Amino acid sequence: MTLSEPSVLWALLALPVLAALSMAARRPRHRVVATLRLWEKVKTSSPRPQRRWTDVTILLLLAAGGLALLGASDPGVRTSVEPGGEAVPVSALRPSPIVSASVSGEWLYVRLRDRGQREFLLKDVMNARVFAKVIPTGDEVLARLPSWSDSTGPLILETSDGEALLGLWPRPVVMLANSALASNSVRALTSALYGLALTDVTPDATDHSAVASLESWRVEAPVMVAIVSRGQGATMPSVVSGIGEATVSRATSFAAVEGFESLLNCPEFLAAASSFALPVEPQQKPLVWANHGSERHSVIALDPLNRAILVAPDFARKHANEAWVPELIALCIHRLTGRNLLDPMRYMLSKIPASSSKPLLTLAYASTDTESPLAPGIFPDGVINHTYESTAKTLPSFLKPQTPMTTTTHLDWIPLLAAMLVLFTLVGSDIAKKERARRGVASPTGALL
Amino acid sequence: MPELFPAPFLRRLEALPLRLAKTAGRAGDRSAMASWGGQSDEFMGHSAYSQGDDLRHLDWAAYGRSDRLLLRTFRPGQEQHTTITCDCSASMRVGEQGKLIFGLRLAAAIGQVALSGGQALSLRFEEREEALSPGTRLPSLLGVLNVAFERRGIQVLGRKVAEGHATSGRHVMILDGLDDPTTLRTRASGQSAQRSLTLLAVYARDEIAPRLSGRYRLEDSETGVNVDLDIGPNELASYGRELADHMEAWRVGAASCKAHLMTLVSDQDPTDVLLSGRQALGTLAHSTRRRA
Repeated sequence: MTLSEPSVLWALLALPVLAALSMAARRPRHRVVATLRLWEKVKTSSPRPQRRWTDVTILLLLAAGGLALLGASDPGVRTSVEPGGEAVPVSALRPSPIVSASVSGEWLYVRLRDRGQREFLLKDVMNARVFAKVIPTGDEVLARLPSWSDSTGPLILETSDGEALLGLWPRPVVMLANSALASNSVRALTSALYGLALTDVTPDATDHSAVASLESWRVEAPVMVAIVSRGQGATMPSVVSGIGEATVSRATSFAAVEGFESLLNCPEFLAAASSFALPVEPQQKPLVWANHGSERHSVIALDPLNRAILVAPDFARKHANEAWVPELIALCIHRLTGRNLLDPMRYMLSKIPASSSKPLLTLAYASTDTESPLAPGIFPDGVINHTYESTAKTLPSFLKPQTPMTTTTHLDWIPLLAAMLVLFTLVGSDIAKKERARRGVASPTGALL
Repeated sequence: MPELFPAPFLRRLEALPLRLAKTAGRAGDRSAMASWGGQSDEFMGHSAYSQGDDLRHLDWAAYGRSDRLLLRTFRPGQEQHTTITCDCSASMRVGEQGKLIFGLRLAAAIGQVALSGGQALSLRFEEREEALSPGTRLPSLLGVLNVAFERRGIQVLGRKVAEGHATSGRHVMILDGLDDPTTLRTRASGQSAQRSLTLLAVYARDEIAPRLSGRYRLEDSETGVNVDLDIGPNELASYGRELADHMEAWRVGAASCKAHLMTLVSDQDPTDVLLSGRQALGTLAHSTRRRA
């Protein structure tokens, strides 16, 4: 458990506040009176027990404190990162029941609260230098999944700090490293999508559930399993063995390489990728490399499946403010789809702070299906040319969700419930106080004076 | 701490004798002024006017009949000596606008009226008595009271001073209304039968109608004893009943001392108390007249 986790911070903040409120409610106010003679008689004659514990205020405060403790005990919060451990379980990744029920237009609510895990994943991205992955940089990522029936909707991921990721349905290539992450999110996403599952398997990893769980996936499209090992290749056979023949046979194609860079040079992988080729003209789907000055980097590329625009994070960060970057990306998209998405590209690249050390969260985008319209109503032609404010913290209007996010878990309500209890307690106490004041006590000397 | 005698109060205080005379004249009742001014309202006769005499006492009707300037003279009253005792104990100092300030201002008002009316005035200290002769000017009176006010923590004007030195006149005791009523007889002991005794019981407004709600630690201002109490509507109602009983005990105690009792609240204006006619000074005067 790290202190930076929101729930922990909430609990750390809430408990002292609740304790202070409770103490303040119990602490008597000091008042000097001329004489205690009358008040002593009042005390002896008062039928009410002079114990604050009977006050409903304290009970409610205690209930709120209990809820705060319960919130702090959320297992999603307590998940910690093992030092040097690779197979880090996702702290909380809760596919919406609605999504799993295939209701259209709803949200998949993804929460990645563990900063350590996030950095771990980003480190992989940086090492790869090729892939810009759909990885959250904020504490939370909201993924709006389109309707099951609407096969051309956008996939929008928005991080809590306002960075937006864009993919287009049904061709987003969701690339997720880390086996456990894949075991959850790939199941949630790829089960509905055409799938490319890249699984990062380390030599000493024991959790192969991501790939192994392919057997239980509801995959209706060709699936390629690529195992990318960051360790010694000597262990690869054991990894493959651990995955199991059933899984391998379930996958349409299979590749096992060391390192992400190797993936692009892996013949099996490229061969498998070509098998996914959708009906586009051959000349429009070569792997594209971008040169900038004298440097040659695999900075912008179409992925081997011709389904994604890949932007190297460090490159994108370096040149994010240069006009040619989004133009080049848009050109690639245009070549693939015939669609002009220059402005969305500019918008997304503009989300990168100049001083940010974080890698670009770019899109995995492709749609080679030029025969079908791209998200009608969502990308009207008139919107494409819209200029978006670079500093905007929110998505442009056409990317905004149509419905508010409603999916959450019961534990997510605990802080809110506790806060409401405290609020109701305070308000109720105030109302009771006013009621007492309203009823008042008639002055016994009113007739005398 | 608020100033004891702020300028607006001083202005009202200086004008008090004249306003009191006007009020009495308008009401056709000279008893109030007479009781504080040193003369009774019993007409005794005329005396020849000489330069410097008070023109207010000229009998214009006699002048019309005899063409001579005559002064109306009245029978000298018995109450020509006023003694004021003010409780300066800690209980009178509770609160920002303590009852002590009200008590001392009230003492100043009564003293001003008495002195301007030709009465002798005694302000009783615990260790000594400060006597002011008739005609003493207001600053001297205020000086004595200021000394009492400044000597905080010292019971300057003691409460054990009821043992009268004077055998006649009026004794006004300004007391904390929350004091134990059973001590009234002790306080009034030694009181001369020829002297009228008036008890002014002073309460603070929040002692009459406490605005307390919640848990309190109440500290006795004189003993320092604490009592923790949850105060709600029931407790306030109970306090009201206890206070009513307490005030009734004061009434009984005052009656046993043959003293007249007035209940005052410290947020009143002392000069208004004296000017409020029958409710305050008038009642006080009538009481003293009956006793006389």
